[in-house]
Amino acid sequence: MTGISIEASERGKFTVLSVNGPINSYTFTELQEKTMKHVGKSDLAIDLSGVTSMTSAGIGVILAAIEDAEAAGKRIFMIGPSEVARLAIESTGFSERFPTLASVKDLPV
Amino acid sequence: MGLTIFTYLAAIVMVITAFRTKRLGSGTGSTAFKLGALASAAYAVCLATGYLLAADNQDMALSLLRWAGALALASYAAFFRMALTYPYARKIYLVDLALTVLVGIAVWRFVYTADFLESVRRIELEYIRFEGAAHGLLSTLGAALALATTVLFLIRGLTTASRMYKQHLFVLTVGLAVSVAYGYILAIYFPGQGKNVVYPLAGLSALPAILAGYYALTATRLFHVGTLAKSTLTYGLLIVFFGLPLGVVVGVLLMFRLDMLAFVLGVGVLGFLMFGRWAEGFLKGRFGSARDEEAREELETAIAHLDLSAGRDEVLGKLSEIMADAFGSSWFMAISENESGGLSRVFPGAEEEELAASDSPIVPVLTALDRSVVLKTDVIADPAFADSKTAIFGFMDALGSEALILAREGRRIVGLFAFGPKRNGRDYNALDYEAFLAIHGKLFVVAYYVRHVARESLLSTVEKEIGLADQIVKSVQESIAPIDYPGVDVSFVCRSTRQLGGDLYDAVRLSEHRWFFVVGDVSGKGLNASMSMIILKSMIRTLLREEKDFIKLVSRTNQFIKDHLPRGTFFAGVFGFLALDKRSIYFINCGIPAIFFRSPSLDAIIEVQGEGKMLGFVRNLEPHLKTRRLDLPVNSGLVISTDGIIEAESIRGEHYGKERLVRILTENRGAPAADIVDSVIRSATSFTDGRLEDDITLLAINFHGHKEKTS
Repeated sequence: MTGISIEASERGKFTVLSVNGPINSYTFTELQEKTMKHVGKSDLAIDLSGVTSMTSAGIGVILAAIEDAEAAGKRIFMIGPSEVARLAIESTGFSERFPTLASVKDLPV
Repeated sequence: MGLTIFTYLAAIVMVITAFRTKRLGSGTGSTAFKLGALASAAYAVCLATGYLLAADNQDMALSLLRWAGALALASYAAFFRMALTYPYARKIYLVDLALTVLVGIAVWRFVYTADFLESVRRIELEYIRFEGAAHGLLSTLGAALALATTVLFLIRGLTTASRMYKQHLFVLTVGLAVSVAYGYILAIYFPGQGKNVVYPLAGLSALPAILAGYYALTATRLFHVGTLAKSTLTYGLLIVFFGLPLGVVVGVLLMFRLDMLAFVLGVGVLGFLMFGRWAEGFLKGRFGSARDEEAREELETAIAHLDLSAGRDEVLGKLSEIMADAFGSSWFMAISENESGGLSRVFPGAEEEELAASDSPIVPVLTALDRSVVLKTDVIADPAFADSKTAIFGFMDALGSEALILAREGRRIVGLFAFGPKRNGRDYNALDYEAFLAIHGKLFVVAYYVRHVARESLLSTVEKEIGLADQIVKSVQESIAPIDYPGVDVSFVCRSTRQLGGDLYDAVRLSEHRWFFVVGDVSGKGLNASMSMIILKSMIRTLLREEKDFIKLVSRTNQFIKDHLPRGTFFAGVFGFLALDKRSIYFINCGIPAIFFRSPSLDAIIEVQGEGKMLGFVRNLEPHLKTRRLDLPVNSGLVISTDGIIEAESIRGEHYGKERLVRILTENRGAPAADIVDSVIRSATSFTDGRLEDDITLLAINFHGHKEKTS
């Protein structure tokens, strides 16, 4: 089973989590742990450009992160979602609930 | 008009307050209170109007101001009557008669003689009053009655045992004392000293007493002293640092730009709208309710993070610790519906103990109760409990409990949680009540878990999760209504690859020819997803009984997910109504990835689900929902699938996809529904080399032809 790698870095006020690999029922807990560690404490960007597949488990983690960030008054963005990640987001019918930027360079200061 | 505008506004508030007490019923002093509030409102109107007319129509002004005096005394008499028996309903006819006679005499002496006032007049703001010979005596009589009432409220407050009523009586004491002092200073003392400018404001004097009375007749919970202090501080600071400066700015602007009244008032309103909310939020964040809300959120999070797979005893043990920390409860008890429909204690204790049999009076009382949190103070002080007071009080007394949280499914109690007295000896207060309401959804999950999952000791320790799964799946599947109809063939599979999952299939028979069904996937994995799925299923069934509008049913389900299931939970699926007598299916696509329709006329498999919006992403889903209708000709069929099949991955990372599914469905045209389901599962299992990673749900419906049902 292909694994997932998640790297955290800082960019201005944002913590950037770069996700590579599939987000599915085997890997979503790792993404959940990483997002929970940062969400609500700082502004968060989740780079989805390296995501190779995304099931509903991944969407659930991201939705929870968005709602947690909103509750804490922090900003959160998805960065350059890969084709599969974009399709998974679109399948919800609520793409607008996932604030998205093309690149980390577009993150607000 | 000037200052009298405030008096008229206060009169409106008093009348509204009097009529709002209607719903409280009678028996707790509310009749006396209503009379007092209406008399006070009439007093305020008479006083303000008399003052206004004193410049041009002295006769009418004199009459109104005399009435004002009589009405003030009538109001005090009503409060005195309230003080004699509050909070209990005792009929004391002699006292009522004596007070009525007193008020009658007062009206006679105040209004129809010159004892109180001889004449009045006003020149500009200068109000001149010529007092009658008995003005001092009558004023003193009114003040003495008001003071006696205040003292009576105080004594009753000091001697009553109930903390709730003690609080009511002290609030009434303070309210009335403020009213008396204010009224005396503005209506008697200042005019006596020749200071008449603020006389029109004397009509406001009854307001504190009325508001205190209204509080006493409506409040059923003790206020939390800290919260009260914080709220007072917040609004005090808001007035000092925001309200007063804004008022000064508007006042100064008015002084210089009186010709631009609308502009200046506009600036004031704009300033209030722009900065008022910000200032309130800023102060609340530091002193007020924002911190209480944070504490409630933390509590909700702690409950949501309970590891349900740890077993029932451990889950309830941890929950008990969380409750003890959050509320300071001396003990915590979980009660669940038992097999016979009664209520049994499941925690604490090694053995379950039946607390109420199914025919016990408390069971229907709790089932019919229109609230989910019950504090003992509510039962004591809230007239809404009048009919159920004995049963609930008896039940709580037998447990020794001070608070209950109920989890109900439709007209059935799934479970309830009882809280013992606080360790510090205080009562549960309004702040606790808000917190109980906030965690109700989370406790509902636990109640369901307790109801459906047997004791840990009964489970195999090796296959604990599988054991839980079996019980959950059984509890879910045993209630699915089979779609059994002549000429219709239905089959489904709903399974999780790891025993526990969030996939859901449910069907409910609505009438002889009609079924409701839902197919979908609750996000998440494992036991927590399963619990969310069961709760959602249960909630949909509950809403189905209450809601006749299809779109509203789905919208309310969405609302439930947002309000009560853990953050990040969503549901992708379809809600449908099968009207077999009409050969139609109505459905709302909520993100189901595939609904395939087999058309006999086109001899083709067509994708019909269209666009859908999943549940759990926005608070108001109603504008996004669309009902579709599909006619079912003879030999047509439907196959509905969640994403588990479509997105199944091969070892090479390729998706099973819709094309393969269509191919299998095409190959199985005319096959029984069960064979269609089997073929798809076999194909997907083979494609993934036996490693289906996601939960799968598949529903196949074949419509062979409508035959009249002979029943």
